[in-house]
Amino acid sequence: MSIPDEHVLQVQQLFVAHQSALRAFVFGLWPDSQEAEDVLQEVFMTVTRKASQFVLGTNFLAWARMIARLEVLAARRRRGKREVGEQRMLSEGVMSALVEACPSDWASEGRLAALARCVGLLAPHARELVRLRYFEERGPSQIASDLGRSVNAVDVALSKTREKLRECLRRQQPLGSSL
Amino acid sequence: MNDSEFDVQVERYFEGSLDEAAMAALEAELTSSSRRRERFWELGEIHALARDAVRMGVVVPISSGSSGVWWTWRAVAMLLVGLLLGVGGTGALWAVTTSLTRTHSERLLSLEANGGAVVGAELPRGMTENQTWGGDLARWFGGSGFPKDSIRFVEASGEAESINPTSCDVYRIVDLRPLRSTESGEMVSLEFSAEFLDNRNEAGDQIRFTTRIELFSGEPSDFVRRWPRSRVAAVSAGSNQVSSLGGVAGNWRRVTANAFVPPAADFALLQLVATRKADGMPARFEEQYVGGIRLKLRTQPFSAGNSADRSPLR
Repeated sequence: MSIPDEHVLQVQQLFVAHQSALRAFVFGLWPDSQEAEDVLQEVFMTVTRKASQFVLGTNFLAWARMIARLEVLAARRRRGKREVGEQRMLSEGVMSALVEACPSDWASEGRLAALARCVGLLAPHARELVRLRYFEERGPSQIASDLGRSVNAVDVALSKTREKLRECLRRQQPLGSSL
Repeated sequence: MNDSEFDVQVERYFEGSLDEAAMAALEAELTSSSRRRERFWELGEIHALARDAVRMGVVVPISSGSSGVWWTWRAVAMLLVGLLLGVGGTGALWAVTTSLTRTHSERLLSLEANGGAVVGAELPRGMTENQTWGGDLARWFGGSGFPKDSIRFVEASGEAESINPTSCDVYRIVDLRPLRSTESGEMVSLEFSAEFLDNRNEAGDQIRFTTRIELFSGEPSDFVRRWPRSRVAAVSAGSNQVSSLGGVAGNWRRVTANAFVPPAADFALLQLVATRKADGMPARFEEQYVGGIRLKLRTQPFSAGNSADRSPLR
């Protein structure tokens, strides 16, 4: 049976609307930003291919997350054996348990906007750390070298900064508040 | 593992610095407790969102005595090093990169920027279907340190049906139908980017710069005739923005927006915007520019299974 184009379009529009949350979700299962982008494109293709299986009005994000989990695993298999020094991936069983535990509004558009506001409220030195870590994508050892500090000091500072962001996010938009 | 140790391990997981033994210990914790799994997501959200928060254009001047550097989104385009749009050319430039998992094709599409218009000339007003830049009051600009075919935003007016007196919008329609893939089983996305410059020497009010790409079905002529009502029918879209308070003259910032290309997409609407909440309306602009405009078509094959009839541009 052919899939009505209109239905596929609506499903694709749902994907577009949720793509930030899905990108974050993929990153959560595989913390590698470049891989996450590639996997996200695979998720879009699979969502399109399986659009007929999705019932409009039901929970798109939950459905797409299941697809994303499978695509992460498939991408990892395609990539083959890990390279020396590469972090091991979560096992399939743990990943499944995590998917079930992921709050429905985790990394939603609303929380992304809230986080952007929270970053703006950080002290200048903390914003600089966030810039180096997440924009420049430098690791703690590189940041330590750039700033003339010890790696441990950078680790501690990054950890404190993230905790401040979490606290700010909690104040601005507690998880589950937009359900 | 106590709570504090667990937090450290999760942070290391998201930093990508867990060794095999530590990963096994973390997995054991995650398997044993639903509370641990909840905490995993709580801790991971900042890591996962921080990059996207940057995409949203959070403006962060570097501290420590240097007030002149701003965040700019370093786009996904790390794979695309060295490719420059042949502005004014008629062809297209292709590049192929090989990732660990598949082959991507990336094609920079010629946008033939000003069609021979001279520096200082006004862009055509309003929305046009003839695939040239037009919109609110803006002028072609040239000068030392400026990308070829830069545009200077002038005023948030000029369209017959201007819908936002705070935004100077410049548009262009790109017909996607000639680009339909001859290969079946391809996934397509478009990456639209441009460099913006707020050349005010002194800091002042906030100005926001936006790149937006929206995809539509049907005939561009119908779309233009029904503009701006036709806008609600987008089949896909992507946008990105940065904000500026000025005071950093000469600092160009590239802003990139991505959109997936669904099967029904016939043409794209590209939009470059400067937005300012001024006392007087419509908003006016003095030293705000855009240049280095690129549109990139990215394709990649479907990875498995029957790929017939799946080509998004088929």
